[in-house]
Order: sequence, then C-alpha cells, then structure tokens
Amino acid sequence: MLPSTTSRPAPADHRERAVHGLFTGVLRVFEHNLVSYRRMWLTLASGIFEPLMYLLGMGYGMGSIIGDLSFRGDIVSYAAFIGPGLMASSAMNGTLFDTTYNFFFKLRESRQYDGMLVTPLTIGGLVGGELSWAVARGAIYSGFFVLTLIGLDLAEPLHALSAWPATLLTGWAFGAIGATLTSYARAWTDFDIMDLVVQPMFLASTAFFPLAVFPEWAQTIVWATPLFHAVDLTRALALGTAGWTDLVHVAYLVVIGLVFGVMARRRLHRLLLS
Amino acid sequence: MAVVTFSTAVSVVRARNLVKEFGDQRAVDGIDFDIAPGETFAMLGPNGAGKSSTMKMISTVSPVTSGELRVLGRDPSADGRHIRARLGVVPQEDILDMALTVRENITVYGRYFDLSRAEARRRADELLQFVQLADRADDQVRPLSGGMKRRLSIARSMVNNPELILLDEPTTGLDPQARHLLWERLYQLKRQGVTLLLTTHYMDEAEQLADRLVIMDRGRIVAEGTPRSLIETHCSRDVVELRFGDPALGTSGFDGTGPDHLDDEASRAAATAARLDLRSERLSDRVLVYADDGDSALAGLTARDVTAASTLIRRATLEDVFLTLTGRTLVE
Amino acid sequence: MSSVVDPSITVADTDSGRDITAGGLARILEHLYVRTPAKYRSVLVSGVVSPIFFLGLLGLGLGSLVDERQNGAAALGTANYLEFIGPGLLAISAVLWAFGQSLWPTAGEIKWDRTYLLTAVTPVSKAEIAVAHVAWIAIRFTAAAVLFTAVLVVAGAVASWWVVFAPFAAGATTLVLSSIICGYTVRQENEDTFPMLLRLGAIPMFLFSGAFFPLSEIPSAVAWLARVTPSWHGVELCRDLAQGSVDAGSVIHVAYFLVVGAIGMRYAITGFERALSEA
Repeated sequence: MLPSTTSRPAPADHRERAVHGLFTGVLRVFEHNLVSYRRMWLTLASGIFEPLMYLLGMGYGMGSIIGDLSFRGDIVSYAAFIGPGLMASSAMNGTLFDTTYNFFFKLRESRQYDGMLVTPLTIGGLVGGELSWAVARGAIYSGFFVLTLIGLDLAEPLHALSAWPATLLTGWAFGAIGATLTSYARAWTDFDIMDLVVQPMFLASTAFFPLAVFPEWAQTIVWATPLFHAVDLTRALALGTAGWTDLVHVAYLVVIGLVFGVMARRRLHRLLLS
Repeated sequence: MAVVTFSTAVSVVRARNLVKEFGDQRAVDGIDFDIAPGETFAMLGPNGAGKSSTMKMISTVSPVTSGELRVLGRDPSADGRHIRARLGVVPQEDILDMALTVRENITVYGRYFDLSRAEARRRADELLQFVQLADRADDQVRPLSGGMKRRLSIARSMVNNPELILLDEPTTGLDPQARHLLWERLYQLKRQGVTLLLTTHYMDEAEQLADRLVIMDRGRIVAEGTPRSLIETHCSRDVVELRFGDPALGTSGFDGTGPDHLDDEASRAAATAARLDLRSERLSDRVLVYADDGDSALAGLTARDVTAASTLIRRATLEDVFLTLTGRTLVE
Repeated sequence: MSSVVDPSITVADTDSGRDITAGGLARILEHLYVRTPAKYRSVLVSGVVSPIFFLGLLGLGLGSLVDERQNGAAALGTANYLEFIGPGLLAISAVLWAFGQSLWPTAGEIKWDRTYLLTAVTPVSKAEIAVAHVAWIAIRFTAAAVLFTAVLVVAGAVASWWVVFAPFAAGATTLVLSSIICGYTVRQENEDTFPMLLRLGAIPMFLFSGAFFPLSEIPSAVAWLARVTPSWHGVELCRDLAQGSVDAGSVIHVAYFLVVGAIGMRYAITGFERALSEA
C-alpha cells in the first residue's frame, strides 16, 4: 500500500500552519547545528576549564586580598560572590558569540540561510532555531558552572540548580540582542562596537564587586544595563536570598528577549525574503 | 635579434639530475635542461608533472633535494638573495595586494629591490603603460578582470629589470581574448631580449611562445626541443580524427561505456590504419590516425569501409606528441 | 614602442651572507606598514580604550574593596590597588594582543593572503620575513603601550620615572610571546586547535600572572608554573618600573626576555622557512 500524501488534511487555518511550521522549524535548525557541531565536542568539553579557572583565579586569588563580602545581609566569600556573576556573564558571552560571529558568518559569508529558506522553513523557525541552539550551548556551559559551584562548596546544591534557569533566560535575552545586531551588521568590523560596549558592561555588572561600590549616579546607569539584572538574579538564586523583588530582573530580561526577538525576526525577514 | 652563441657557461638556468622530494614522493625525478639567455623556454605538462616544483626551486624558494641547479650562474642554496634580486616572478595566483592601488602594487614591490620611491613610481608608470593599464593606475585591484590582474602581475614582475622572468601558468583561467592580449605582451618582451621561463598545460601556448620546450610528465622530462622539431620527431604532420556514434545521443564513448558495435567500429578503424602502416591512438571518444598526408589517409580508410560519424583532418600538435609519448592527454 | 628593459635599474649586490639584515627587516616592515588597514583604530582600542575600562572599573571597583581591608594593600607591596593593577593591565594587554594577532590573523597571512609567498621571491630572506612579522605585532602594541602608560601616569597609578621604559617591557612581552605562538601557528594545517590554545594558554596567563593579585595568594605549584611564562615576567617588570623598585630581580626579567625571545624567534624562523618553502 503506497503512503498517501493526502492522509492528513492540510492545516486550514494560517495561524495554525505558522505555529506548526515554527515548531518543526526550530527542531530542524537545532538538528542542523547538532550535526555541524559534532566535531567540536572536544572543544565544547574543554569548556569546563574556564569556569574552574576563573573561580580559582579571581575567586580565591582576589578573595584572599578582598576577604568576605556582604550580599543582602549575608556574609559570603569573594569566590561565592563572583561565582554566580561569572556564570551569568558567561551565559551572555556564550550566546552573544553564537548569535553574532557565527550567525553573521552563516548569514553573509557562507549564505547558509539562503539555502535553508528554500525549504519549508520560516523566518520564525530560523530565528527560533538558532536562538534555541545558542541558548542550549550556553546552558551546557552554565551547567558546568553549576557543577563547579557545588563542587567547590560555593553554593548549596539546590540553590545552585535554581540559578540554572536564570542563565537560560540570560542566554535568550542576549541571544536576541545579538541576532538583532547581526542583522544590521554589514562587515566583521561592525562588531567592534559591540565589543566596546560589552566589555565595560561586563566589568561594571556587579559580577566582581557590589553595586554599593559605585557612586549614586553610576548606580542608576548600571541598573539600566541588562547584564546587571542577569547577574543580580543569578546571584540571588544561587546564594538562596532570592525575593519577590527579583521578579523585576526576570521581567526586564523577558522584555529584552521578546522585543529584540521580534526585531531580529522582522529584520531578517526583510533581508532574506524580500 | 643577435645570434647567441650557446655555451653552458652562460646558461641562465642549468639543471643536472635535479630532484625534489616531499617525504617519499618524488615531485621532480632527475631532470636536465639548460636555458639560454634571451630565449623563451616552456615546460609543458599536465598538473602534477613537476613544473611548479621545478619553478619553486629555480626561484630559490624551495630547497633542492639533490642534483645540480644553477640560476644566473649561481647556486640557489648559497646565493639566494643575489638570484632573487635579478629575477622576476609571475605566480600562478597573482598574489596582488587588495589593500593597495594598481600602481602601489608595483611601487611597494619595487622597494624590495632598493628602488627609491621616485624611481619605483617612474618605473611603475612605465610598466603600466607597457601592459596597457596606465588608465587604471589609481584604481583598486579588486574590481579588475582576471586578465588585467595578470597583466598587473607581469608588470610588477619587471620592476627590477630582471634577467629572467618566471611565469607559472600565465594564461590559466583567462578568457581567449585576455589570453591573446597576454601573449602579445609576452611577444614584446621576447623581442626586447628578456629571457622567459614559463610553465603551462596548454599546448597552443607552448607552440606560440616557446623557442624551446621540455615536455614533462610525472617528474621527468620525456622530450625536449623546439615545437616544430618535437612534432616532426615524435609525430606525423597530420592527424585524422574519427568520431563514431552520435555524441548528441551520448553513444560516442566506446571504451566499454557505449554500445558494443561502436567499440567494434573503432577497433576496425585502428586495425585498418595499421594495415595502411599508419599509427593510431584510441581516446575515450575518438580514434586518432597519424599520417603525413591526412587527405590520402582518410581516403584510404574510407575505401576500406571505415565509416565514422564525423571526421576531421588537422595538423599535429604538441598535445599529440604528449599523447604519443605518455599515452595520456595533457588535460585529464 | 619603447623598451621596458631599463638598463638604468641595476640591483646592488646584497650578498652580505647573513640571514637577517637591518635593511631586509626595514623593507618588510615598510611594506607591512603600508598595507595594514586602519592601523590606528585596533591599536587604540586594544591598547588604550580597553585597558582604560579595566583600569577604571576593575581598578577602582576592586580597589575600593581591597584598600579598605587591613591586610589588603599590605600583601600587594604598593601604596594602593590602583598602583598594583595598573602596570599589570599593561602587561596583560600585551599578552592578549600577542594571542590575538599570532593565531588567526597570522594563519590568514600564510593561507589566504599569501603575500609572504611573493615576498619570499624578493631579495629578503624567509628569516627576515618571520622576524618582521613578529616585530610588527610587537611594534603596534608598543605604540599603544606608550599611550596607555601616559594614561597610567595621569590616573596616578605610577610612582617612578622608570615607567618610561614600561611600554618597552610590555612590547618585549608581546615580542617573546608572539614569536612562540607564530612559530606554532605557521606549522599548523588548520585552525582547529586555536580555541584550545586560548583556553589553556591565554586565560591562565590572564588570571595567574600576578596582574590582578599577587602570586603569593595562590598555591605554590601554580605560582611556580606562572614564573615560567612571559606574561608573569612582563607583569613583574612593568610593575617594577612603575614603582621604581628596579633591582636584580628586574634584570632577571630582562635576561628572561632575551633568552626566551631568542629561542622563540628561532622557532618562528624555522616555522616560516618551512611554511614558505612548501606552500
């Protein structure tokens, strides 16, 4: 008996079709990346060294000349203080790298997306898929971080695990920002501007020292940057001092993710399909 | 042009039993040749014949594995600088600097030969005039056509007034018009007495430009001489090409790929040629019959019921020489 | 038509017999200078803007935490944290610049750009190409280092006039490190191992060379490993100069640069010679 191509009625509603297309699209792109990255598993695996080194270096090295810090009333070692901060920023760096340099290469140089869009894949599926992949990659690195924090006794296991979803949220938000930036970039050198902004944001994000160190006027500026929210939320969860006020951080990151996600999708639609 | 009394003492390039090995691969397997001043010398052969490896040794970039090599009378391993100062090189991939203008590509190169900036600029303009790129002197290199880039590369190679110019596959990748323009410029250089050494896998290029050439295959020299003498020695004057079957229907291949009866036709043609005392070669799509008089050879074959779908009578070329000597074609 | 054979151009005999001459290096450096696009911008960013961010944010941020502790500043050996981290950042940017320039950009020169293949058929030697390539990396950084040192002086992170030599100490750090990394890069078939090199080379050097905290604060095994690296010697020498505590120890750092630099350069030269012969 021959398989029938009409055994399933085609989705009559166009929205239903779009959602169906989006889901399978995301899956396809995710799968595609999985295959491409097969060979890079070794590099990926060696990524466990980074969190370890940063915590040992900055955490203990600096910790011995800084001593303990107070965070929301609790006294914590410097290593325990910066651990979650580094975890959040590495989630940012990871997805940012993927959604900028990698994304730009596939978009402009290898023109991989032009080829992919000839298939039933939609722009929504493309962006969703690439973003999911970036977040998944970031999630693996963050996972290493969680293990390192628990292993070095810098956080209670349950608290450290509760911080993990925060890094996914962080990854998603910054991935969306990165995708939008990339859709506007015209040459590799355009990303230099991004580096120039990310670096001070990273240094000032309170990953390394508390907000109280800043003068009042500077604190407002720091509060406006997305990485601060990611860092503060991750730290609050990891150290077990999260409260309802931290929902502000969550809301901030969600808004960023949605706004930039839509922007990226719209921009790419114009670039690739018109 | 003055008659040059040829003596090995003034060879521009002299190779004796020259060998180049990469690991246990012999890219150049013991070759001998001399290049006289003012002559245009070609190395003709397919890819992998060892031409580029030989060129790299002559340009002193690649060390000689064994054997003797003298360039401009000097040993490349000892006097590399001296040789390179008097050499002009046109590499296969041009290697032009996209960050610089057309003129700058020449002036910047000229500085390596200790030309002053003024001298380099003057020389650049002179050379751009020669290759007919003077109007593009201040343009970027990227938008130039392949032929223009190659002409620029040739102009650049002359900035130091070299005694010997090496050209590695100078017209590969160029369209016919660009090729002819390039040959024309190289003719001019010849007439001005510049010694040229070129490698190529195009037999028409070797025939047109070379005073003498060597045919190389798998690291060895299989023949040497002038284009005329090579054809006369190893080949007949004419070649009769016989095609069997209809190429449009894809039935012309007969070395096991096409219908059996075409195979038989080809074998019969070859046998008939042999009976007429004519040498023949079977290619994948043709039979070539070598004769000094193509017309009478074809008549003789037809009289003995050799019928081909299409026939062609032409002069023998260096490609035929290569085929005769190695059993393969120049372009695989 | 006029002849393009120009007898007025005769190339002088450059048979000095030596593999590396000042003239040859000058020619290649001139070429590199002319063909480097936007030379100033990347130098300014990596050498000045970025370190200023680090100095301002980390220096002051961490500094306020360190200085207010009783035992904080004492372990540093300097008056305050800013004076400690300032020269450290100078040396560490030299390290990061060396990695940045010696991996992908160097591989690109050999594999994609191929300009050096053409340079190899001019009178300069392959050894000179190697030295000039590495030197160009160091020269560009030294220019940025001069600017950054000026920033350090203005920021009050400097305690001695010896600091005028600090840019050259930083440049030497780049030179030594670049020679080794370039020697490695030109021997590779592809760039697959580069991310690993950054992870296992650049990051540990960044963290454990004494730029941010003294080596006395980490286990001695790691500390002894750090003392082998050019980055540690660079940090120490830059700090010695900035603090004016120039002594026998500083001389040892200089000697280290000379010895390891010579070895590194030889490694780079043999690498380039092989890469340019067999390309």
